[in-house]
Amino acid sequence: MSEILKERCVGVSVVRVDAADKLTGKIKYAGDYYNDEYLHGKTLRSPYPCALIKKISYGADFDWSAVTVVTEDDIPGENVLNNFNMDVPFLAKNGKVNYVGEPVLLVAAESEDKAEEALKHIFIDYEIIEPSLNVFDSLAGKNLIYNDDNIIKEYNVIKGDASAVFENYDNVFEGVYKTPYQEQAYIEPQVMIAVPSENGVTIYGSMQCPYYVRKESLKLFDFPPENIHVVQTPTGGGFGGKEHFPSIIASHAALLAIKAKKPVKMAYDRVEDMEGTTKRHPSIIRVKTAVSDKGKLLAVESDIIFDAGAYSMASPVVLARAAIAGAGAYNCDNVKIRARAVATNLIPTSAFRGFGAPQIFFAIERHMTRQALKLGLDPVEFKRANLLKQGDVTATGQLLKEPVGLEKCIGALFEKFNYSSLYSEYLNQPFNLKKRRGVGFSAVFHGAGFTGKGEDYIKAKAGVRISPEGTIEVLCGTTEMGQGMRTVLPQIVAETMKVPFSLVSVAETDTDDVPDSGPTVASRTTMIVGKVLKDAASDAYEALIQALKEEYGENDIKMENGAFKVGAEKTVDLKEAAAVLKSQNKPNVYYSQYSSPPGVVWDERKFHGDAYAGYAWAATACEVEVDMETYEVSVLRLVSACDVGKAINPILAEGQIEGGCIQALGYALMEDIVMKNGKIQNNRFATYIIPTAADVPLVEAVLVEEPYSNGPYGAKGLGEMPCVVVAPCVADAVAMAAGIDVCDIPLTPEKLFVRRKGESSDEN
Amino acid sequence: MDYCLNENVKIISFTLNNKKVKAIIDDKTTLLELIRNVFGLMGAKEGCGYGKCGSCTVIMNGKSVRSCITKASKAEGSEIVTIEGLGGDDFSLDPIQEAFIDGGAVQCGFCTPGIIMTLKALFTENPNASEEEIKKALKGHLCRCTGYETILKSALLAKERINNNKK
Repeated sequence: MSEILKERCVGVSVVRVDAADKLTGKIKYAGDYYNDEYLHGKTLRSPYPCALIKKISYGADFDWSAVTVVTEDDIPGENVLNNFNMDVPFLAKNGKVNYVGEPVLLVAAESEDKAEEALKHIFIDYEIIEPSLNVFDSLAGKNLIYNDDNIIKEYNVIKGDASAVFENYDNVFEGVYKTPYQEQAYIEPQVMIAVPSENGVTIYGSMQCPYYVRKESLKLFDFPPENIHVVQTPTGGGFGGKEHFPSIIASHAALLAIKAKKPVKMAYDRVEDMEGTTKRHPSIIRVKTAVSDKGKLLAVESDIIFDAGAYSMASPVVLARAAIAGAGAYNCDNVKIRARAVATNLIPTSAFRGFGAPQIFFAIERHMTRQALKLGLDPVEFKRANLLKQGDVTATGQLLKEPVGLEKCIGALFEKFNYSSLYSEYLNQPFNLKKRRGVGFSAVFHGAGFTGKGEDYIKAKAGVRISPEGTIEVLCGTTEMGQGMRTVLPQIVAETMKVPFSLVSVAETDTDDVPDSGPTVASRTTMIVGKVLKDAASDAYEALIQALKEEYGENDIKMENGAFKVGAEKTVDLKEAAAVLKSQNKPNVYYSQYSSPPGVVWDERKFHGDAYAGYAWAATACEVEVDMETYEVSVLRLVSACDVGKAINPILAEGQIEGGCIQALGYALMEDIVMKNGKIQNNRFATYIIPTAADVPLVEAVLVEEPYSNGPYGAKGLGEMPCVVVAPCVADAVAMAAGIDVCDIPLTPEKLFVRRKGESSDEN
Repeated sequence: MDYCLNENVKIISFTLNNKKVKAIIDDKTTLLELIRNVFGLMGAKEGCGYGKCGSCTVIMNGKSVRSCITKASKAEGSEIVTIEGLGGDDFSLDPIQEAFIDGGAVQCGFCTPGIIMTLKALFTENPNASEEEIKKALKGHLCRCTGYETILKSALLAKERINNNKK
């Protein structure tokens, strides 16, 4: 393989570096670490959505000598996750619980069974408080959970004067759209191991963001963050679910380990993972539009409400993304967006692939289709006529200077998917067919990286290290969780340094060795960290050339076939070149740091300006069949064209799109959390249904490359886009096939059956 | 089956990855616990603990089984193959594993060993399994990363290669 990759490496589907170890079971996940010395940690959780803890008592008939118990009183510092609104406690704070499943206290014992046995001998007297179990009760002040209004975060985005347009216009169309919870359902449940050290603790575990574990427990302990040494273990999927929550589990394990003076392993089983960890925010979104006689979108108003659950977690950033996309991917002069994340006595919601965008794009895309049909227009033509183009100004007032890849995506999409002929065919199918078909279309954008000035605050740092053996190590604090980072980042470095791919690898993700490159979230790793690494690799390459020039007094030096050609005759391999660097006392590590491209302006207070330095774009079409007796939906075909800027590794890029499409298919058709009195009822895979191989259609990923000027080799972030674009497209197709006007997902047969008489879902 | 002092504890003998082995188990021990905690073979994973995700799949007497819901006592006298027992003595990969590399079917990898074991049992029993039969076998496995497309394609590629090698 490396033979063909001596010079070019970007744009080539090199085999992912961890494939063989994963296929043979050799790779060790955190749960595979086993040691007789480990204690096993367990969490006692609140059974009530809101209650005061009156008394904690420990059974007298139980032997507590071999059990370590940690309560809020054992916390040496402050009981608060150092992030967002500074409101998330590690253990129930000040004697109050705010959701079912909230951690109250921790135990550790020599086996999981013993720890569970101990939990059964702890008794808590609660005084129950009437909870608020939905956003409307919370907004009405039924139970105050957050500040004096239960609003965790609110954003308003204003462009032009939408209200004036609506006032002067008769033909205003309004709809209410609802999206459900979604469980990340990574197949590896959360696991953390904490090993006490002389002056702190070492954490090993499944996580997306090792530096978040450090930062977020900053106030918890009485030692500085540097004394928390974090090593990420191979991670079996994250999808946002391992962004912040691992900081809580790691801290729990650390509190137990420090008190017990022994290593503590905390492994959640599936039920605890599903009941106890964060999900995607459910949403209720009211959309209002006005359209001219000629089909031009004149005004959009979106009122976005997210159920944040009991604590802020990542709600502020999730909501921000929804607010920015409040007018979808459309060019509109008059936009009014109000977005609120509301506290309830329910499980906190947080990051999940797409964060905020899947909800708002479902609402806007579905609304635009319904608006077109209301006016007797073809939905695709109506949407296309109004989509953003280069030179347009977005809802936040951002002038789109870079090329907009949307039309290219749509062109590529319709080359593969004959939308218009299927659309007219199914428009005319008889209603009394046993099985009816429909097609759907949707178009979205996704800003990769953090919103606004976020990347400037993070200042991602990453570097390359030239080893004495003549290999190159990538030093970054972002993680491999299945998406392919350990393959893609070396491809960028190998290409930049013109060395064989086989000589480049990513160093172990260990905070003692790698810098903080920011979190592994928001489709930012390839685009942001990849760019930093490209710069660092360039510097390292130049340093090597300079060293060889000085060493051999020769100006004509270039890389050829994986070794330096010095003058006409001499060849110096990387190992010799590394030795030259060393002999000249020059550094062997080259770091670089991210800064936004010039001209990016963002006003956080007004929520105005350049929301993202660069945008990726996607267009998707699908064909479905609905059984008109059982209302079962079969997706026959789904094609997603994504403008990824540059596919560094096409097979891995396609894998991201295909996998994301199927997660989104689950979101559209089957996934939801059932709550009863604030308790999750479907807490296992038997009841929380995700797609299997039997459910999935033919999915085709089409890679469109409209390069981003500040991305490495033009690459944009891509991982989240499929999760954003698919659900509205599926809903359109189902609505067309079944003849049912749907405004909420998931589109289960039960729901469609109830709506079959043409009952609309937008009354609320 | 040998019985020890405690009636809940017994010694079982079976073949694990071509080696005769014995182990002490109690009546609560699952096959997954036996394989992981007693023999230290960590390739089979617990993704759900009740037989729904397929990550714990091993082959017992030629059939793929969910080891997390199989009692360890069932192993008595059986032949068990885990992911560690696949491939050649020369550390070569099984054709199914090779096809998964070529087809780009691996992402986070947590579900992967289980899927490989199911396909191994399927192709050993029926090298001509149809696409529908393959899909049916895969239905018992949850993968949240790939969307199954590459897994299915790789399974078909493996089938083709297995059959070509026989000719």
